[in-house]
Amino acid sequence: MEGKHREEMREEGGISRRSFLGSALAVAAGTAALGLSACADGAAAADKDSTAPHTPVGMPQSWDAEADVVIVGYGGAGGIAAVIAADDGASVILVEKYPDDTATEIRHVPSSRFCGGICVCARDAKEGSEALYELSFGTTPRAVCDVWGEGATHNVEFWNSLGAEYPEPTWDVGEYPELPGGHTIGTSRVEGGGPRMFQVLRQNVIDRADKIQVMYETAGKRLIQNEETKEIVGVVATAKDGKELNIKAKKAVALCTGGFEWNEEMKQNFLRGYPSWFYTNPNNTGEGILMGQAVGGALWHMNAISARAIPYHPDWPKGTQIGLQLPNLFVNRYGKRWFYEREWPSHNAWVEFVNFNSRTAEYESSPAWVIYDDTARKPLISPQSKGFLGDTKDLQYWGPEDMRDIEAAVSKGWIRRGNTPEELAAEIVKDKENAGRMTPEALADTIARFNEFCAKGVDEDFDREADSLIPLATPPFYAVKVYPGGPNTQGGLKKNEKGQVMNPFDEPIKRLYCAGENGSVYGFLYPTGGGNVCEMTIFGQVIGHAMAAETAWE
Amino acid sequence: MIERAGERAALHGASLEVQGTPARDAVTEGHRPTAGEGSQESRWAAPRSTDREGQGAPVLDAGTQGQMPPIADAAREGLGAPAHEVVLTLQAEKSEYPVGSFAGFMVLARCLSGCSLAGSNIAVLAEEGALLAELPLAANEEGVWSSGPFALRVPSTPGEWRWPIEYRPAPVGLDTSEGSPSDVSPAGTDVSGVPSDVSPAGADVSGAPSDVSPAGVSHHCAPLDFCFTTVAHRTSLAVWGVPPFPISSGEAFTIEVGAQCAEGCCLQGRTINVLNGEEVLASAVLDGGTESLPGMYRASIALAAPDIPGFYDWSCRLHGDPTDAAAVLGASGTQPLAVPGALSDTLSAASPDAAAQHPMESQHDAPEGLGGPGQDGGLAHRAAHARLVFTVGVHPDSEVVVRVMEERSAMPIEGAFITLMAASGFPYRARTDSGGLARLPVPSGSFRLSAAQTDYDKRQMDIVVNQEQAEIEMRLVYNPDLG
Repeated sequence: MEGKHREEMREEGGISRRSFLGSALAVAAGTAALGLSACADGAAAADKDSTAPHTPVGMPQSWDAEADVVIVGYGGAGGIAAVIAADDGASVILVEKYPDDTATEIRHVPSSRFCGGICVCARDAKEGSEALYELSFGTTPRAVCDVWGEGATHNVEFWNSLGAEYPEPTWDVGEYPELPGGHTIGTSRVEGGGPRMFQVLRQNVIDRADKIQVMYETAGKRLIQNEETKEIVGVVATAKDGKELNIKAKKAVALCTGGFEWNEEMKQNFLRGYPSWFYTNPNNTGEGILMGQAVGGALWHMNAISARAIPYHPDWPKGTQIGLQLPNLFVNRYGKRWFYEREWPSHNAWVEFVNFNSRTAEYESSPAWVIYDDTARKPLISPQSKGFLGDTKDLQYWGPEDMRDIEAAVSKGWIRRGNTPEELAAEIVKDKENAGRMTPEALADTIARFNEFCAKGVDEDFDREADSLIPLATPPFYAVKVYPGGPNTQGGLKKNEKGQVMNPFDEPIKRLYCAGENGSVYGFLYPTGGGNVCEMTIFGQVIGHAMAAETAWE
Repeated sequence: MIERAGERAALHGASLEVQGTPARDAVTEGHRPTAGEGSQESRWAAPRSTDREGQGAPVLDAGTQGQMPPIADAAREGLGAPAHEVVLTLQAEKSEYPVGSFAGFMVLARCLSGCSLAGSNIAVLAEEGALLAELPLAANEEGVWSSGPFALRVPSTPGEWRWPIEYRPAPVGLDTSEGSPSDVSPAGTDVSGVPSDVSPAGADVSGAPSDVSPAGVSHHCAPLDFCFTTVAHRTSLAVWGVPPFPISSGEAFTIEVGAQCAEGCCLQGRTINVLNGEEVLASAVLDGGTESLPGMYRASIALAAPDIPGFYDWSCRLHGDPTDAAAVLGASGTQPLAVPGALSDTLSAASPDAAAQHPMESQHDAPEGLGGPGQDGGLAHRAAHARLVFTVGVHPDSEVVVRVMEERSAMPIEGAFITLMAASGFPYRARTDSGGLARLPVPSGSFRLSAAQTDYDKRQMDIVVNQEQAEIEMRLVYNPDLG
C-alpha cells in the first residue's frame, strides 16, 4: 500500500527530490562509465594473455550470493538506499546482523527504529547548505553541504512518498539559530516516532521483495576488492552458523553500518574524553568503518558525536536516556557548577563534560552529577519509559527497568540519596570514580548559592534564565552520575557529494559508498534532534540512485 | 573487644578503594630499626625506594597495600644475620574517624627470612600500654601473615591518638613450620646456625629487642604505631518550605528544618536557631523525625518577614557540643595525643555488645543512648548551619491565573513551572495543579510570564497585571527529547 503510494507519486513526476538528485546522479553515472571503460580494457587485456578463465587477484573463486547492489547494514540509511536502488532497477542484498522480527517480537532494532522519528529539514537549500558548513566548522566540503541543503528541503516529501505522514516542519528550531543559515533549520516528527518511521521503511522493503533480499543474522566482515582494477566487487559476511559467505556486488557496495558507539577501542582513540556512553543500537560496533579502512578509505569527523550527558552503570546493558524535571543542576566531580545547565539537553552539551584539567590530569566534569530534590525525583526518567525492546510504542526508552524504581536504584547505587546536601555528598564520595573529590561543604555551598540565585531570579555565575531557577531544597536530595554521551558517534568513512567513499588522497574508491552514521556529514556541531534521520534520508537516496546507475562490472 | 566480621572487612575494603589519599596516609609500616635496636641496616636497604631516598616512613598506596618485601630478596639480605627480622605493615581505611566509631584495619607480618609465623599474635595497645586487642596471625598468603580485617572502636572524645601495635611470638615449642613457603624457607641455608634441614620451628621469635631461640634463631620486630585522629560527628541541615516568591512585608511564614548526624545519632531535643547574623530570631526543638526521612530530626519554625522589601540571607544553626573538635583541638595547634579518660571509653565501648549497638551499624536506626544531650554517651557533635534565603516584596493586590495546556489536545499540563518576572524585582513562582491551573498573587505591574515543563517547549509572554483578576492561557508544544 505504502509502496504503491510512492509509485503513484513517482509516476506523477511530482517528487521534487529527483531534481535535487539529478546533478549528483549525472556525475555519478559519468564516473561509473569511466570505471566500466577501465575495467573492460583490463579484462580484454587479460583475455588476450590467457585462454583459461582469469580470476583477478583478490577475487574469490566462487560466490555464495549476488546482486547488483550489496548494502551492509539494514538501518535507515541502508533501507532507504535499498528501496531507491530497487526502484531504479537494481537487485539488492541487504546484509543485517539482527534477526528478523517474529510475529510477536521486534528483534530487528537499528537506531532509527527506536529514535524519536524526528527529521531535520531545511527551509531553503542554500541556507541549509550554509548552516551545515558552519555547524561542521568547515570540515564538510561545500559540495557535500549543497547536497545536504537541497535534500533537506525535500525530506518530508520523501517520507510521505513512502507512506509516512510527516507534518509540515516547525521552523527555526535548530540549536544554533545564530549561525549563518541556522534559523532556516526545522524539524518534522512523524506520529509514532522512530518505530512508525521504520515500520514504513520496512514495509517498503518488503513490498520490493522481488528486488531486495534481506540476509538477517549475517554480519559484514570484509570487502572484496579486485586488486587489479581496485574496484569493490563484493562482501565477505559471516552467517549465523559461522560460515563465511562471498556476496558478489555487480554494481556497488554500500557500508551503512552506523557508528562505533559500542567499540571501546575506537571510542578511546577517536573521541574527546573517555569514557563516554551511548544509547544507540548495541550492534553499532564500527566494523563498517574498519571494512572501509581496510581498502583505503579515509576517515572524517571522528571526534564528532551527538551527545549530552547520560547515566551509565556496568549493571546495565546500555546507556540510559534521562528526562530531567526541574529543579536540577549539574556539578562536577568537586561539587561545583561549571556551565550553563539549561543547555544540557542539547545534542552538543557533551563538550562541556570533557573539559580536561592539565594540572590535575583529569576530566573534572566527567563523570559529573545531576543534583535534584524530592520535588523532581519522580519524573527523572522519561514518563514514556519502558523496557528496551518492549512493545513498539515504548521503544524510545532503553534504560534498566529498575531505574524507575527509586528505592531499588538507590539500594544499587545507581542513584545516590541524602537528607541534606552534605549527606548527599557523603554518598557521592563513596563512588569509586569520585574517590573523595567532592566534600560535603562544597556541595552544600553550591546548592546554597544556587538557591540564592533562585530567590533573586538572577544566576550570577552562569546566567541561567529566571524561569529555570527553581530552588533545590526539599529533602531528600538525589544525585545521578552522568558521563558525556547520548545518541551516537558521527565519524566514519569520508564521502563525497555522491556518497562515494574517499581515500586519503580525496579520490573515490571505485564502487564503494556509505551513508548514515558511518561517516555522517556532521563534522562538529549537530543541528538538532532529527539530524541523523536527515543524513540517512538524504544520503540513503543519493547512494541508492548512484549505485543503481553504476554499470555492472560483469 | 574486637570485631572480626567479614561484612565489616568487606566494607573497609571498599573504603580503601575509594579513598586513595586518606588510605595512603593511613598505611604505615614498621619503622626502620636503629643499630641500637639490634637490627642491621642492610636488611632494610633494599625493599622500598622511598626508604632508600630518605623520604620518611614508607608509604604503600592502595594498589600495593600488602605487598611486602619479597621473601627471597629479604632472605638474601638477611644472609649471615644473627637474627630474623619480622616486619609489620598496617592497613587502615583512613586516618580520621568520628568519635566512638569503628576503625577498621588489618596487620600484616612477614619474617624476612621466610619463617612461619603461625601461632604468633598481634597486640594493639593503648598509648599507655593497656591491651586493646590481641589477634592471631592466622592467615598466610605467600609468606605474609595476616590478622585479617578487624575493627576497634576509637575513643569517644576528639583528639589525636597513637596505638602501638606489637608482634607477639608463638609460645616456645609451638610448631610454627606449617605454612612456611618451601621456596623461600630458610631450610637449606644456614643463616643463623640452624641446621640446613631444620625449619625455624621452635624458634623463639619474641619481639624487639631480639631474643635468641633455643634452636639458635632469633627474631625481633619493631613495633609500629597506628596514629589517627578522632573528630566530632559531622551534622548537617536542610531548610525547606521557604516560599519561592517574595513574601509580603511583615507576613508570617513557616519553614521546615531537618538535622542529621552523619553517624546516625539521635538529635531529638537539640535546638535549632534561626539567626540574622548573630541575632537569634527564633528557636525550635528538633522532634523525633519522620519515617520518610530516616535519620533526620525535624522542626517547624514560624517566622515573620521583615517590613522592608528586599533579599534576605539568614541562617539556621544547630549548635555544636562543647567538646566540638574546634573547641577541643583549639586553634593553637597544640593537640593532645590522648584525652584523659578516653581510654576507658575505648575499652568499654569496644565490647561486642557495644559494637552491635553502634550507630554505624544502622545509620538510620540510632539507638537510645547515642542520641542527644544526656543520651549520646558524650559523643561530640559539630555545629551545623544552613543558609535561609528569601525575598520580601510589597503586598500583592492582584492575582494572575495561568492555565497551561498541550497545544494540540488542549489537555491540561500538571506541574508546569510558572514564573512571573518583573523588569526589576524578584520572581514570583507557582506550579500548575492537575487542572493545569496556577494562581500567583502579585502586585500590579509589568511582568514576563513563562511556563515550562519537561518534554514541552517553553513559552513566554509579556503581560501587564492590574487589579482585576486575569486568566491567561498558555499552550505548550509537546516536543520530547527523543534523540
